[in-house]
Amino acid sequence: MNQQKLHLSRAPSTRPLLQVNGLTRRYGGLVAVSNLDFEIRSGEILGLIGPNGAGKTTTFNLLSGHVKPSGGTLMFDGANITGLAPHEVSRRGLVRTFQHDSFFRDMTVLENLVIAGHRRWRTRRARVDGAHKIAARVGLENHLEMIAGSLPHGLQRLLSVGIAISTMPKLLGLDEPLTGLHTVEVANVLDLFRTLCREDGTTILIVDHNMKAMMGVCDRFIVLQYGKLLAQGTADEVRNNPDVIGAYLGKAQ
Amino acid sequence: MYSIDRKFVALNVVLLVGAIAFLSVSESTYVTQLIVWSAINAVLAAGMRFVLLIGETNMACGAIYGFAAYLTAIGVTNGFDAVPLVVTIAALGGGVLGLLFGWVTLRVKGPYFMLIGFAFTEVIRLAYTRIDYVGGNSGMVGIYAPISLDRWMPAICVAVCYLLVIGFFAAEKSSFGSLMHAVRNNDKVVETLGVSALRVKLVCFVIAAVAVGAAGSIHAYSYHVISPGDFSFLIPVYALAYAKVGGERHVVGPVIGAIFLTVISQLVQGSGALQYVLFGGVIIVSMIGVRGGLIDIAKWVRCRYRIGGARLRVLKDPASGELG
Repeated sequence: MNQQKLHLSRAPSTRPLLQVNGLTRRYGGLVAVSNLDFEIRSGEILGLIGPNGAGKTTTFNLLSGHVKPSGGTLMFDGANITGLAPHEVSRRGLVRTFQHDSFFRDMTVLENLVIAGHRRWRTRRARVDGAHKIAARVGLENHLEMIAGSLPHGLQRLLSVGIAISTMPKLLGLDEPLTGLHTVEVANVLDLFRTLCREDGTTILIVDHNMKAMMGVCDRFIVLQYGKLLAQGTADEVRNNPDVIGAYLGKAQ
Repeated sequence: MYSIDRKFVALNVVLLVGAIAFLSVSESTYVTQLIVWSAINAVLAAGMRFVLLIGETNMACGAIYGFAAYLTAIGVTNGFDAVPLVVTIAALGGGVLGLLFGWVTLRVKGPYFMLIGFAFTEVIRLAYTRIDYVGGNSGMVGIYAPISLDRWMPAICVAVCYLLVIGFFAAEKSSFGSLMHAVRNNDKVVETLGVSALRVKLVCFVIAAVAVGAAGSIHAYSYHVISPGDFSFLIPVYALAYAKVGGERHVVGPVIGAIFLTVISQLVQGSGALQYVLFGGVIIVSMIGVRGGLIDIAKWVRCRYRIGGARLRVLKDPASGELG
């Protein structure tokens, strides 16, 4: 896919879609996420990065409602979603995938996508038609009858994205979508993310450890360390930030 | 909605009419009772399987079954003669009890949910023994339908049970049934689709509770006498055995399992203490011999002789929107 053309299609706006203010999560004496402030702008691809144990997944779970915050507020598309249940957060348009098994393992690809369209389409026929379109969108049109659990890893990742976009999310959260993919699969998945963002206007939040891929696809980055905001900015800004370099490589004594 | 298979409807109408006709003319009280007991057990087993579709084992069905039976006994002994009304109220009572129990307990999963259900069944059973109004340990007697309905009661009971099993089948094949399968597969992903997994589980549980409640009411009418000992943890254990021995793949499996084990239990009944060994032995042999349940024998025969074009198929026709 022509990356240059895609970037010309739609530029990120400055309107905040999600505003995170003072987000905190404590587990007893351990503060996993501490007083986090950031925003995700409509139409951008935001990367959430940091070393292992930085609090990325906890932050992700806090945003999607899978973990209740100990403090702080989450404003999504003008509404307060702090403390809402995961399905209520999803209904408002903030939809996420999981690191592992973000699909229905024992069902076919088509059945997965039909169920994913449960709330979007009212009739079964409409759901099946919609599932075929989504399958074509993510490149799974030739695997409709395969059982999801038996798909190659790369295709399972695409199915996870297909399930998520069936709900027409405003903000799509992807938890380590590139893990275990080989180079060609990474390129295909990144192309899909760019298309979803630039052509469909879906705002995307990605958590992943593949820094090379993240630097190529994300408009902006949030860097966490020890549950706190370490830095934020464009790829060049965070790449050259001494605190970020120190967090990943260690600081000279 | 899924399309209705005309052969399926015709087969069920023939079976239902045949059963009603047989029960209406049968002179053998024993055979009639055996059919009614099998039908009641079939509903219990189908109800157990229905909750297994969301990945949970419903050991609370004994409590719900007994509660509805006691509601029926209270109604009948207080002069309520309208059988449809009493069965309906008892079924709804079972549904309400299921709703209350499920609302609190379906937040936990697997063995935890199973153990809570087991305890609930035993606590409710013990409660009956402490309440004089329902006869304490002695239970309640004189649960008869009006004399005018006496001859037709076996047919009515079996017809109600049959329709309840058909209801389970229809619910499973609906879009809600797909959600139930999805919850069993991965409830976290169901939540990301904007659907409350807890609500799906709760609706499933309440549907099963209403049907099991109706079966409990029919139990009271068919036995005429009930006592706390009739509603112990053995009820869900047997229901699970019926479902597993018959096979979980299709709603017909638990029905086959219930009929098979009900008949076996009658055959071994005269063996004294040995009957439990024989009954258990049959369950073990069935489970080891046919792992998918007795229904897999029918599947094997159909595939072996290509009856009805039987083949494994994942998708019948994508264009028709019908999933096989």
